[in-house]
Amino acid sequence: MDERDLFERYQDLQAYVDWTSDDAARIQRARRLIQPRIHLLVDDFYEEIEKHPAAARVITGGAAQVERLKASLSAWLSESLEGRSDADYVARRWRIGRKHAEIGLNSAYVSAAMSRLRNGLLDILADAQLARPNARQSQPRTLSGQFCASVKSINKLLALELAVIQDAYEAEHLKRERLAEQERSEVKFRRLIEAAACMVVILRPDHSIAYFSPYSEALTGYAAAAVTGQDFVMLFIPESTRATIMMHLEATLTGRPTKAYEMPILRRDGTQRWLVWNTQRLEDLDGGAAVLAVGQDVTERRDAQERLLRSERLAGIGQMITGLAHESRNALQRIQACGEMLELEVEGNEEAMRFVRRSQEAQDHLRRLFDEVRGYAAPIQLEHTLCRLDAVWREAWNLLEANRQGRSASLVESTDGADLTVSGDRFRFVQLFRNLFENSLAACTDPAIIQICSRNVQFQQQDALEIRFQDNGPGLSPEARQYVFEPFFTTKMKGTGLGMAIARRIVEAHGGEIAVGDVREAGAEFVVTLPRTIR
Amino acid sequence: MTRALRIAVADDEPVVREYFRKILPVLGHEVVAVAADGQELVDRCREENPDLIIADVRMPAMDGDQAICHICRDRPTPFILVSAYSKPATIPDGFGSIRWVYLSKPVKRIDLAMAIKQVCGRNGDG
Repeated sequence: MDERDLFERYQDLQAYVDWTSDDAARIQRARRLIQPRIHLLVDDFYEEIEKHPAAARVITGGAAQVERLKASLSAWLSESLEGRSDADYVARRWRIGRKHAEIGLNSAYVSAAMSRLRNGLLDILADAQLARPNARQSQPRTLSGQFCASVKSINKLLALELAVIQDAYEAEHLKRERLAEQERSEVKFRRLIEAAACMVVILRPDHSIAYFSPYSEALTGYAAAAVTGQDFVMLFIPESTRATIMMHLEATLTGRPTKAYEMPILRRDGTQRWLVWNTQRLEDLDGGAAVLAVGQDVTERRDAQERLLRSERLAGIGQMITGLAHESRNALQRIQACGEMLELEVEGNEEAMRFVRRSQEAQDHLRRLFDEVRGYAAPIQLEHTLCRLDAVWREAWNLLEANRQGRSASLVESTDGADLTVSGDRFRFVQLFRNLFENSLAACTDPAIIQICSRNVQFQQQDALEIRFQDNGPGLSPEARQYVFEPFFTTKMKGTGLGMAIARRIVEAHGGEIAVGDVREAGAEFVVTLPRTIR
Repeated sequence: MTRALRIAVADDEPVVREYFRKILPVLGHEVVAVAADGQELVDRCREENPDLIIADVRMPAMDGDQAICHICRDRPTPFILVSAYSKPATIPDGFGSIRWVYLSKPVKRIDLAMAIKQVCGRNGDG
């Protein structure tokens, strides 16, 4: 309430108790009697307070404070006896009332104390009355009337003062309660946010970040202090989706919330996480509208879905290829039969024999392709034995002797004494290493050098062996880095593009992981991590 | 080196029949019967009593494995089944004591040689 409202109310109260200028005049007359005795009233007032712990507890400053308070009360009493009642006066009295709430004084004691003052004031008037010389005994009624009128005026005055004090008190009390409630609510809000495993951000209409929850910090790698005030869209949204996101934010601000919208955000390290977002408009953030956005991390779910899709696709491809391969066998058998019979016919004819042999090689290649594709799509069944991986990769290297004919290629082992024993399917491991070697040999020009390093690591809380393959070839293009393990991806003219995809299947069937190594100046690097035992 | 065997062959493809006719002698054996379907194989084997049967699984009139069932009921004979499938879908019953081998198409000369050796062995038991 502003000062004008307060004054209007006061005037209304004055009318209510029937306050007139006559009352004001009587108060002023009474003042002459009361003024000299104010100090007695004040002393009595504070003596009484000390007898009541519930009231006295608000006085924490000892004797010095009591002295100050007495002076204030004295001034207050004097002022009230002036009989003024302008707007300024009312405003000041109101502030005094608020003070009572500020110091935490119970308003019941205010009423009781006021009553005590009233008694004191009336006693003074009564004493003065009794002390009057009995000069005009013939007119006792008038004196009595005058006394009663004065008493009524004092009562009206104190009623008005009390009303103002209590009104201010109540207003202040309510305000404090509201603030406390708001704080409690905010504490609850923050606890809720901190417990929730999702990103919670509040954005201003200009997309600047007003709130960034602790989980958001953990997920993105940015501290809240660092991002508060920054543009959320510029910082977290990949460029390609910015326009769409800004549209969604605008829609939310106009009261159309967004539900279950999947969108990636960029982390500090440059990687992406996929989240599903709900947004809604907040009515009042520092006086303006804002957007509350809550996002749940669904990256793993998406990855799982992708894997599922991939395996379904594989199953589809597998079926098709199996059908194709099967159909082809009869034709291949006829080709084989004719080729061998031709060989018998042209024995002695070197030129013709050469053609026959090349035809045979092509058939073998075709057959291997079918086998490879069928092998890729078929489920992998593993036979577990303890394998020494160095023996395994040497066997794989030897199997590629034919490939290495006429080439200068070498395998360098730097295993640093790491334990190379791993539990798994030996046949599949040979296949794995063979595919990795083949991949590098195909990419490298002579002299080709393939280096193997290994070390112990922890992988998903298990003991594991990490093997790094490095070659001195041209390395992987950004496209190759992304797709090298995808089936049918190949940069070579020959081959099915399944070698590395099969490698990944084998590694993953053993519970491990294969990945492209960090970008190097020269050559490609692949990192295979195999748990030592399969769970 | 396996002794010279008397072999019955069956396949619905003419080229493959011709192949067996030409290749098996090169491996040192004699082709005593050539059939184009399962029924013909049964009839010819009754006449010739071969030491070994090489038959395609999928054939008209009667499948190779079925034909061999009939034949072996009367007279157990080692056999080689050739099929476009990579592994046997079902293994015919009652072949427990007979030696047999399953080959996937396309079959090469060297595959045949090894299979014959496996089924009929060094001592030529059959």
